[in-house]
Amino acid sequence: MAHDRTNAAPGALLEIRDLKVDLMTVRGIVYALDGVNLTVGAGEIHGVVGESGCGKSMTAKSILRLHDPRRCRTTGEILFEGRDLNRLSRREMEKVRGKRISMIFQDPMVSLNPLICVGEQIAETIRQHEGCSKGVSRQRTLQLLSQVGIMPPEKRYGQYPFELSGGLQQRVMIAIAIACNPALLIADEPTTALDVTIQAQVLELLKRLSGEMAMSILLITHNFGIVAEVCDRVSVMYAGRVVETADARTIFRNPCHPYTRGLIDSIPRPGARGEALHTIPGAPPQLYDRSDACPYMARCPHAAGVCDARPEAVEVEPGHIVSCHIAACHCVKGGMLHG
Amino acid sequence: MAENLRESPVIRAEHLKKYFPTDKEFLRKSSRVLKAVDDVSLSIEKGEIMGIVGESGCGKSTLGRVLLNLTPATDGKLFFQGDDITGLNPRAMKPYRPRMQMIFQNPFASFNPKQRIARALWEVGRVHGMSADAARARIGELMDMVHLPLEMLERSPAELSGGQLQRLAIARALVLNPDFIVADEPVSALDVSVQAQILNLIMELRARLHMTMLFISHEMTVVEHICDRVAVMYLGRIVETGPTEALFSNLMHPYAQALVSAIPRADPDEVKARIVLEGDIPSAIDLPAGCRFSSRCPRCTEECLRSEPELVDTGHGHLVACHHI
Repeated sequence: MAHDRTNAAPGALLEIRDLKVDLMTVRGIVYALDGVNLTVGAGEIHGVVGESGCGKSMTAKSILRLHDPRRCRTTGEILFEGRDLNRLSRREMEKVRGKRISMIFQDPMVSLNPLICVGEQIAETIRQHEGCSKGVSRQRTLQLLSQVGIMPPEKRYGQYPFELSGGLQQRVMIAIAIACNPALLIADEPTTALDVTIQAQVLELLKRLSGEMAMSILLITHNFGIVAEVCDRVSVMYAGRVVETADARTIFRNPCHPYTRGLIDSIPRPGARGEALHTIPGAPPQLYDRSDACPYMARCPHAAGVCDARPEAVEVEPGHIVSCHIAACHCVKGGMLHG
Repeated sequence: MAENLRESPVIRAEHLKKYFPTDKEFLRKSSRVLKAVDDVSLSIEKGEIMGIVGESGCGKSTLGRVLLNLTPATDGKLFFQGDDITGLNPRAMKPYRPRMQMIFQNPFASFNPKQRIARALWEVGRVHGMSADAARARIGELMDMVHLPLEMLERSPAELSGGQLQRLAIARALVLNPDFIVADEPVSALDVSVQAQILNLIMELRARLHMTMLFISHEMTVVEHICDRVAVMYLGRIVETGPTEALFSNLMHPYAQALVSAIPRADPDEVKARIVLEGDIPSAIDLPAGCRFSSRCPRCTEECLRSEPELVDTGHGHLVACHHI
């Protein structure tokens, strides 16, 4: 355990190194993740953005090893609290899941058991992981319910999921997730199924909890607005790789990867009514074969001969990492001029 | 009707209502009703894109369906190009059908998976009396308009991406050259970069064909970008409506203000006074007494609990339904 810790970056809670996941499907092998590198600092809200099929959820599920091991092949390291999660036994992994790392999903209705009242679902989690009595778990549950803003807790404890609105159900999911004070919460599109006014409430709650409990959050989303609002750092994913990582402000002010820039430019902005929106030509690649070329090459306006080789991750300024031959070149030069 | 056909709006609704019966028991008439659309009046001029925004359950999709007479209105009047089409039965609606079309949210669900695209588009023309050749020629024209290669017509829906299918859904809606299109959340199921492509296409077609459209969406930014006029709905009623620029530069209804302030903006430096609304949207079955927004409104007073505010013109076609204006 100790020798692993020395390898991890200082201040990092979770460090994913060169994670590759291949899925066996009827249509052949899908190279879903192709060398993901991602670091989540302690207490940080880290956003993962990208379009459908880019590997955001895949990365999240791989951290908790939620894939069917018979149908997928995983290589790479997932360093968490000094251990490589990929090398833990099933027993050891069960002690991490739900206790040190927990997860909430997009649709709370399908994540909750419709036949058990919500309070009992939270209490069960506490008893499972901490082995305490029914009375103690009930007390803790009532505290948790009020902590996530479900009022009045005594009444809500005995209600069933169908009696609650989508926003309240997602709060119940959050209560279950934070029941054992995890160090990391993975939130996979937690507000996509909710209305904007309810989304705003849930995001406020996640932000508050992260601060109160010194808990890191890996927030998976396709919405750049959410990133701007709640995230400290952001990783942009494309075709199974992380193409750019930076703090949230830099991603918007100085996006270096052409894909990041394209995505941000295609969001409708207030005050530009009727103007043609920026679009990215073509479509994301199918991941049926693994190639060394930059996956964005076919759609990139700056593609050149060098793009046939795999782009290395380059730190263009402190904390700002880009995987692009062209951008690396330009941004580093730009940085040197300023320096 | 004949004397001022040019001036009459493409669609005009007066005090439109759509109530659905609920908790029906066996052999017994239901006692409670769900007021999906409750007294909505609007008119859309030729060449105009009217946006309807609101949260889930506010009645925006029902309104779209009622305007096309796909579901009969409970009360109120509906005019299509000056003709009274209120409560017409499907047979009487037939001559109007080719002139009004719809585009849906999920492109994967709006095509028959067993049918090639060519057939899906061709059939629309055939049903409404186009000759086989004319329909084929029209499809060729449309594929060019939505920027898709003709080869794509030979594919089946499963082979196409969401963006391509949504382009084809738009092409299908245009086969009969309709006068009015209802687009129900046409970009909500798409990724940002694809969403931008479809929005550009709609704007381009509007300029080229002078399309008249009701654009239903829950996303304020999208509506703000492409619509000429916007109506904000809450629990079956329009609470604020007006020309897009005037409306967004001066939002007056507390719900509209909260809705806009709740949108996460993709700009980390934007200074924001966020209004976080308390609680959830009440059910459309048991509406709060008085103003329907009173249960969540930060400015609620006694008057709001007593009477329901009417839409009042504040100038330049900007209408607001709030006692505090």
